[in-house]
Amino acid sequence: MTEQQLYPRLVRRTIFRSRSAAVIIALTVTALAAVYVGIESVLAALELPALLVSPAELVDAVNSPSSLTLGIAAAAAVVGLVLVLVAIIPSRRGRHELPNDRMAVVVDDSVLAGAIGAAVTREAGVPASRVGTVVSRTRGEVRVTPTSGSPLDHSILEATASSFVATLAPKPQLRVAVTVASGGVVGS
Amino acid sequence: MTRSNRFLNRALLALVGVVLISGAAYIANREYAAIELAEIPTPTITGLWVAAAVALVVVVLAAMWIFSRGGGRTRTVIRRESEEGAASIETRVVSDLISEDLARLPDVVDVKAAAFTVRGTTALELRVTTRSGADLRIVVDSVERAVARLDEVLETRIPVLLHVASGVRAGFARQQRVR
Repeated sequence: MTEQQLYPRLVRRTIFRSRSAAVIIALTVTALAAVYVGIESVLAALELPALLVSPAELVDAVNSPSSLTLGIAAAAAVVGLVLVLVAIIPSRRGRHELPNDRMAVVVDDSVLAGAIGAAVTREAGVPASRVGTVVSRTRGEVRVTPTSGSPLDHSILEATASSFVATLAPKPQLRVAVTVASGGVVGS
Repeated sequence: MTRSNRFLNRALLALVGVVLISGAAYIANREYAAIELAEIPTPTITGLWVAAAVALVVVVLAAMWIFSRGGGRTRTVIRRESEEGAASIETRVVSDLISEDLARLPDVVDVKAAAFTVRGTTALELRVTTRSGADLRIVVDSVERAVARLDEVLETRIPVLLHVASGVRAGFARQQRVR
């Protein structure tokens, strides 16, 4: 496999969550149920007393359901629906891909947020504790609280953030918005 | 990063889900009788043995599937053979080389390396944990230089996946104030 084929695959597998944990839980429960049904079947075939419910009683319960059976059926339907949903939804992790000549690069959104926040912090000249950044799939939001008496130009900060993101060029693309708080804070 | 087939994982989850839903639907139909469906006959001795055999097959298949998850991790990054013998380089050596190169970076908290065989190709996964507010450009460029040096040492080019993460420790690590 060449790098051109391999890298997109590596990136995809890092950005999207695997279903292995869900499959292991679902299959363990299924296997336990199968073990129980197997044991009851063998006991009934050898005409020994059942552990809890004999297969004949189980079939009766299904053919003419009591309210208990209906309750169990409803629970099974809910679990089944959850499993189908888990199978269908993409379950993306908060990560972005960065273009690179040599490597496949994947960055956690929190790291991306920290880097954008640091760039804005340098431009604004305020302590890092007064800059908060949140990055989601397609949007980055920076909130800056200025120092009282030295107003900050929102458009300059936004240009800084945008050009910083442009140099990184994360995939999927990020649009950054900077918000400067209306009230300043005294001191550093 | 493992070898497990993700599409089959999803397909299996959906299958188990659909089986559960149809079972529930059958029982609901017995009670409210929306459509005409045959009753399940009381099991005969043969039927019981068949049920037991099916249960055994389900258990074995489930166990096989569970234990085949993960995998693909290798300890050897490169293996070369010639008439005189074979030489192999372990993941730990590569990990040490990269970590040593990145140790000088104040923003990097931790470097972990793992090798995986993906469809016959061995790829290196580098997980670099950084402090919050780390300069991403510098981190990525430094790793790129470290990998370039690794290419020189190994005299070959192995596929590398770099994952820049902010681990649990990164949250506690103070941001560097002097820049």
